[in-house]
Amino acid sequence: MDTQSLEDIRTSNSDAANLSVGVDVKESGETTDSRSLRSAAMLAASASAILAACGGGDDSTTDTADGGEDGLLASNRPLSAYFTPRTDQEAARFLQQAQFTSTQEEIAALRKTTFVKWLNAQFNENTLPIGPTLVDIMIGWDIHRDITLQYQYYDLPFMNAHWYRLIDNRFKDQMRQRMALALSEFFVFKVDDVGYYSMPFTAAKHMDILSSGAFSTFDKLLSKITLSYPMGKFLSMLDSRKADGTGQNPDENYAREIMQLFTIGLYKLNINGTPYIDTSSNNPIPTYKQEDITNLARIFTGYIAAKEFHQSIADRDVTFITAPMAKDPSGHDFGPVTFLGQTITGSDMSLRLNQALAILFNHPNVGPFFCRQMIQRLVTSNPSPEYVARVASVFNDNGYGVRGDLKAVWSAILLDYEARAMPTADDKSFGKLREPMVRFVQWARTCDFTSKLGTWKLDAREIGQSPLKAQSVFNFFRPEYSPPKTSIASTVDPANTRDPAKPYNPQTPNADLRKRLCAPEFQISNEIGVMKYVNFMTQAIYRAVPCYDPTSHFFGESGYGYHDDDLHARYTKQIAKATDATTLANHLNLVFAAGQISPTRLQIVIDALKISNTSSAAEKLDQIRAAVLMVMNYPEYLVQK
Amino acid sequence: MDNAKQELIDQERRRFIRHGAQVGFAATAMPMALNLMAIGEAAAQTQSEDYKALVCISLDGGNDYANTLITYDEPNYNLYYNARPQIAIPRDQLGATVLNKVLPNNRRYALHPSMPGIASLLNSGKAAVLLNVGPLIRPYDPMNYTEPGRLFSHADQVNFWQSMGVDGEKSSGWGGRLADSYFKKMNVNPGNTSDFTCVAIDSHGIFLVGDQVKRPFPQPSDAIYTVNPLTVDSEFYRPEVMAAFTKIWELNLNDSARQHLFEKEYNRTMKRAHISSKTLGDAITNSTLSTPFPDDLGHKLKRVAQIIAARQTLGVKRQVFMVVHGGFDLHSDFSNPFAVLNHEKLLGKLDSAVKAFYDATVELGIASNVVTFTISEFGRTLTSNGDGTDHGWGNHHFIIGDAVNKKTYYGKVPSVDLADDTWHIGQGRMIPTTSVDQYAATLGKWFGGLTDIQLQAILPNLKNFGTGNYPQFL
Repeated sequence: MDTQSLEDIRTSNSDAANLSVGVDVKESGETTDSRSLRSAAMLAASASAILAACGGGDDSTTDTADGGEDGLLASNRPLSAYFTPRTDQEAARFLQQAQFTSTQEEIAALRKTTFVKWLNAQFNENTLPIGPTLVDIMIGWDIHRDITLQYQYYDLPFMNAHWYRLIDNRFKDQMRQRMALALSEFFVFKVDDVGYYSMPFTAAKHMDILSSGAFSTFDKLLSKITLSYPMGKFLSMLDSRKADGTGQNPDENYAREIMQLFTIGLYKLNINGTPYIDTSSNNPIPTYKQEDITNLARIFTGYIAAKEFHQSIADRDVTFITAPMAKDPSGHDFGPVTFLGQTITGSDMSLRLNQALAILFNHPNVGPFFCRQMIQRLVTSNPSPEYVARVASVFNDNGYGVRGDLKAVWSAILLDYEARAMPTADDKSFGKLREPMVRFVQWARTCDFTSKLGTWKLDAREIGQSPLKAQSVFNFFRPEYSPPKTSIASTVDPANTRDPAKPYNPQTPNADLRKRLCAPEFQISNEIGVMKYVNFMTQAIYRAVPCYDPTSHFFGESGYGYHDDDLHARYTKQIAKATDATTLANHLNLVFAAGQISPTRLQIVIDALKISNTSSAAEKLDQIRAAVLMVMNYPEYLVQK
Repeated sequence: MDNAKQELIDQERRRFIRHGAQVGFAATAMPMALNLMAIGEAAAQTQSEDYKALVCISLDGGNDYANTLITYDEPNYNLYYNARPQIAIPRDQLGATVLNKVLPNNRRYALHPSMPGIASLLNSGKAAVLLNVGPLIRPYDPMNYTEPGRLFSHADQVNFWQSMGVDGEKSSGWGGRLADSYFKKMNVNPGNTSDFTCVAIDSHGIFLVGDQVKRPFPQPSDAIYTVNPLTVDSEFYRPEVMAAFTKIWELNLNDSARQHLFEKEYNRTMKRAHISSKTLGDAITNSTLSTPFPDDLGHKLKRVAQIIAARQTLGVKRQVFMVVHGGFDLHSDFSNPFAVLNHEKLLGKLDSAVKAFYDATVELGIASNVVTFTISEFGRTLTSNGDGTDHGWGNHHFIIGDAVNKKTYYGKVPSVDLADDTWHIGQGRMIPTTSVDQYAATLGKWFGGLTDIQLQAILPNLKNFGTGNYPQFL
């Protein structure tokens, strides 16, 4: 066992546990909100589990009582960290928050251990080797030698490599990939914006930085991203030069977005993620002004590609993309720079950059700003302020004085009782709409999808959401998006009403942002979005995922079509379950929806299926397809709770 | 990959994502003589037709004003050039797009050389420019100033332009509120036509959200979608799935045991998609339009024209459309010929698409019933950062259609002299002299015949600019 990381999690959550107990007791006396009631119930349940664990009597919890941890109760180890999933549904639900799939094997393995041990195994590179990088996959596919693919077909090789990396069941580091995908919606990079001559490797490098850094620390990740060619190219820090007296000024793009989107956001926040209100003006307080951007932009001057790019056929070296940007002191503005009230001086470009990034990283906004969005990506669109505060305090200090420890952040998000408490049937808002790209990977891995030809030339763009293909640096959707004129937008978030001691001025910008429920993923699930998804999945399930292979001429000049013999799901596990309609429906309900499709509704699937023990293999396959299509379009599946 | 090749691939993709063969764009291949007859008839029929449409083109990312409407008279051209020598357009390339109208002090403008279509519309009185318009709470006064949302922030300024509030603040936009005003004025329930009153092409934003029209119906430009497993003539039609979905929808409406708001909303969206897409798709398929359109923005405006052509089938008398033309956030690669999109390519696409769309309204006989206009979250700096510009504030915008008045320029002509700091807030970021509310008021008065009081109810800051004080481009 990796005791170091176990230690990390245990200690890092101590503040959160303190906070949660205090808040919970107070709240349960004050409100009938179902979420706090659930929290209270959870607390009671976990307390008895701990007692059992300490006594060492109960089979289901003996795992957690190893290694002389008796003293931990006193040190306020988070109660939920002791949890072992009690049912298959609980295990599936955890797995679907932590990674893409929850297959029966994965559920069984998780039920033999604890959530904490499972997480530690994911964090441990010795027990769970990291798969190849996307850059290496593409080099293995000789993309760097293929001038046509590298330069002319946009991001196609990247999409192929990334789907392959996410889908092929031989790659086991699913949690890392899932977290990288969540990070890609915070540190947004848009592949379409970087110039076609460098798209595939630029996108691949960005994803590689996120997946290799997903279990490191926020500041290391921020520094790598800032100095990377992909981000330099996308947000134009690359080749930005100091003012030269002819009217040319430093590029402000990265300086603006690193503050607005990658670190501190627009307004000062409380640790629970709500805007901090200036009591004298009754307004939220902006975190920075235009002059902060103009000044910070000067720090980001003087960075160029590590290697000159030649668009000649002879030069297929991609290190100009994969290496960090190089310093060009002649382009750097060495004057003193003041931003966010601090001044950076000195003549070492790297030191100046590090100081600037440290000012941003140490801003108190980063924890709540980042953690709230990660909770939204993984668990629920409307986390309670207390949940945000618990995770953000772990971000601020993992218990060892380390700030920004991402392993501790993921653990705090997934082990929190708000994530672990099973949703009640009358909870109207807990959870999130699953993202189309996440559903696709879940389907593909669960149903044993493969490229029989081994070329992985799939094109899944028609599902309506593809990694690194957001509309802009503002991601596919805004964190506070609420579909207008719906019952979601008109509902006040019960767990998130404001402190009445701090009255809100309705004239103030953003006044009502956190008061009503939000559902960010609905921003890409309008009428067109939902049709794209159901149509894409129908064809993927019944026929194949479309192939885009402009180099083979198999599909004529367009290169787009369906292979009869490639890019199929094989439904290996499902065929074994297809003995009768009820068994199949229950199986799919568990592995896709964590058992959250209610019996009445599941019965509709069962009634629609004509499968029986005597059905032929072809009949069974057809019934499996119909069942998968129905389950994957059920609202009870689509909303992960 | 060249455009033609990409187009081929897109066509092939569209062929696959459509269901069956029900999409008949081939209907446009009508013999020329018949076409001309049809045009004549349509024109005669619609002379007095009670139909009006607003078509909003959003130049997403913040368009660069200085290289779009270029100061042409020599002293001001020189100021412009000296402010951005790296990216200034050489004056000798502006001959074909110079605008005829001469302003006081001999000020003149030319459009970017890639915009001959809009230049000719402006010179023939079919279009107008609104100079230096942008978000303002009240006329700019540094001593009494309230920031209109977060200036220079994309998401917030996009939302201010569309709703006069920052990201997430308002629950409706002025496009949707104008559509509402029509139903209110006529005292009719929008009923089923509500789905086709506000239509968003490949875009989603708050602009078209109203109270009565609720939410815009989205339409893709590249295909007609229906829910394949639920559509009888689709090769993927699955009766058992259709039956299950119908049950689910019924259950969802009547089941008090499960009330998850997200589940209900997803259901509602699916159901609306299933029903209204079919109606709209059929109407589009049966409509006739022969004007050729370019790709990209052209496809989107073609879809608008097709829906307008089907207006009688759809039973609509007022429509508001929104299309997005994105990619203007050019901090770099502003003039890089290797970039997928540079400023010249973007403006060229805008120009050819707008011209084609205008021609289509002439073909449909409703050129005076349709007003097209541009918005953009902000203008940009006059100075450059090498091969790009940074976020600004005020911007110039275009209004196109036969209903437009013939003065060419509306609003106040701004300076380009950086040494004079009264017109900009640094680096040539223009302080708007006309507000978004005023711009919207002119459009709203034309569209809905609204009074000042009615306009003030829709446009929250309008009252701060004086009664009836808005540009007279319509």
